[in-house]
Amino acid sequence: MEDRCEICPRPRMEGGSLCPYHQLAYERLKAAFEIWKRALNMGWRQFLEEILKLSDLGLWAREVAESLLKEG
Amino acid sequence: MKRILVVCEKPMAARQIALALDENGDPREERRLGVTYLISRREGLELLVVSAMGHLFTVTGNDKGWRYPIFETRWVPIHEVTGSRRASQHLSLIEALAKEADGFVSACDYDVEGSLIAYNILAHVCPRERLEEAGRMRFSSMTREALLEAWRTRSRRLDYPIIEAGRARHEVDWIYGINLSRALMASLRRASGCFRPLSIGRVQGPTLNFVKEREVEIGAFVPTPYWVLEAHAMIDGVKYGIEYERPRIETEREALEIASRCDGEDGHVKALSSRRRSIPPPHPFSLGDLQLEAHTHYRYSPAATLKIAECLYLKALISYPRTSSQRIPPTLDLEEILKGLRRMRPYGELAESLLSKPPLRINQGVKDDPAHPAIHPTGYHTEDLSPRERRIFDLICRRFMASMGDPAQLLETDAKIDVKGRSFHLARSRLLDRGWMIFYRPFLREREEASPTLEVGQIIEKVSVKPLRRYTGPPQRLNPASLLKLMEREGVGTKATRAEIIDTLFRRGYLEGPPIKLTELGLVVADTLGKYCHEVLSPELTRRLEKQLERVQISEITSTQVVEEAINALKPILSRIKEREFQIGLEISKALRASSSILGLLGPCPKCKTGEMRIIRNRSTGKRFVGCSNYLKGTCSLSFPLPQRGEIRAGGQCPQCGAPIIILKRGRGTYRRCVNPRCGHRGEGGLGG
Repeated sequence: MEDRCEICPRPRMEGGSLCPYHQLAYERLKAAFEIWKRALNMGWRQFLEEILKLSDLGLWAREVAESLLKEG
Repeated sequence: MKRILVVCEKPMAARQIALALDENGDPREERRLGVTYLISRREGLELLVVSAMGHLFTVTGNDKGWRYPIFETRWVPIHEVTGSRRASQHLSLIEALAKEADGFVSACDYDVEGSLIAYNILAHVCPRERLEEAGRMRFSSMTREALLEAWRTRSRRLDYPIIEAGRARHEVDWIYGINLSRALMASLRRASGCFRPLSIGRVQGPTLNFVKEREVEIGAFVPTPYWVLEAHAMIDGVKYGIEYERPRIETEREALEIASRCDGEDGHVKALSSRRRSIPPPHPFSLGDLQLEAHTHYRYSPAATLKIAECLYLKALISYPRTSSQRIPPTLDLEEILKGLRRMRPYGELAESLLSKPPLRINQGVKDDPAHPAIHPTGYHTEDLSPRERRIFDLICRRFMASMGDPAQLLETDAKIDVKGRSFHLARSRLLDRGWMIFYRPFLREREEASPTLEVGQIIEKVSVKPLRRYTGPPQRLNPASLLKLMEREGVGTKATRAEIIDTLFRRGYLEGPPIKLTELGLVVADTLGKYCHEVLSPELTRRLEKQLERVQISEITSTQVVEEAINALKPILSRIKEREFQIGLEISKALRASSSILGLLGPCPKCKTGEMRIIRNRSTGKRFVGCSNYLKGTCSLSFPLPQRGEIRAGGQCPQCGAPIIILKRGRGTYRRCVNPRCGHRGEGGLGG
């Protein structure tokens, strides 16, 4: 469906491809990446792989990270 | 002989009141219309002591049509709405006894609800001139002395400002609840043709939003790394943990650098400091404090704690529990209560230690409640207590005594240890005097820490330092007690209603847990309201109304003004919903469909092969199970039971029987298994747990 979030069946935000919750999670991922990069000097892909191992990663953030990894 | 009808709130309260008021302590029990009442004799009067069953009257609309907006209200006997036979019998008995009575007294709990319960009954059964002469007993505990004093000092008039506030609260809540809920349901019906019960209310809205805000933070949470230095020092053959001056190091490089520089090196004590700290005793419990403490130590929900506390109150063991006060008035005879506690086995020595060191002084809290003092024991005792009652009673007694204890004295010492130019700390604390902690010991976590004797300049040999990677954690999920505390802090709801509101959100299917988790349905409702009528989710609106209701209680404004103001605030919200009814309904409908596909679908039906196996909740029991989507068409009735606790997600199809495999997350464990109890296959790939 065109108006659906790329990850879940919720309607997507205007002008975006994700619903508000997955969009928020994506923004949090980007912000967290800056901290990870500074702390461990790692790239985006490695960051995504690392955070997926953590049980405290939020559900929406996990779904976004999985989807980003799948997209490559 | 003159007869006075004494109206009480509950049967057990009626029994205690009749017993206290009867001059011989032996009231006569009578039964009429299937309901028991008691007759006490006092001062040449015959007192007909009768109980309600909580509210016998309720608010309803003026017509029976299903429409909104609807702003006209009326009060009717509750059995006309619920069909309760018991309520009808109680009211019939009171009507019959009222005809024989020459005077009327309200002896319901002294608060808004109690005053309103008695007023509604008396206004229904009394002739107008008698209602104006009806008296009011005011008491904060059910002890004989308190009840006799309440009888002796009863007012010759009902507490009308409190009653007005109660009527206004019920009317405003009804108007908000019925209109907003109907608006949501009508929108859904208009857009999708489906009917689904959806509800929201004046206090439910902001409470739901508190949970949603937390849920969003948890769902979008991304942990970030930091490092701590785990350091140890051997002093006189004993290993002590020491802390690096910075609790968190942001980069791995820096953490490794410090560790490699300091690990295995000698340090020296650079400075020593110590200070005495006094920890004041706690204040006595308000209801919110008690509910939080009972949840912390026993995991009792706020509603359960309130229920237990009410039983203790009705047994005359504690004061009235629905109080927001943390203060004890100077008129309360502390000595008499302690003498009572001294007779109880677990508290004998503790009470004696307070009695032997007068003067008795309570550490008063900040919050006050004009109607009732903080929760405290009465000094009465009974062995007839359930284990849960005994625990809450113990908590209250110990807290009450602790609030009269001396401050505890703590000695805090800190040794600054320099290792290769980096500062580490050996911090210790030792209790010098337990003070009030003696009374509250079972509920405190005391740690005895060994503390070395050190001197400035002393060499600390071979300090070990290891860098450890840690991650930031998400905000904690709310539990019923912390949600209640949050409502209290934000001024949402009242001490009497908060626990019930939380329970209602669970019953509506908006929340699950504990720990509390927002369901997809809860998220849909909160999202829709947030988009189209955010005021309903804001604590501001309900907080303002609470303030207005408080002003009614002190006769600054009338209940009519408050109800009118509430209606005026609601009208634009409802017209906004009405204007966009179709759009709102469409969004709810889409979101509900989406939510059912997010959580509800578990895979194809192994029996009919065309249906989808989905999680369904039984509307009457609220229990969940798996059923085939073709059940409604009458073509397939396959169903399986499900565990009632924990989060369920689809885990594929069972290779043995074809039924869905579920991934169940409960507590810290994650389990994987086939839903078919006859199969019992554990699925592919163990998840542990």
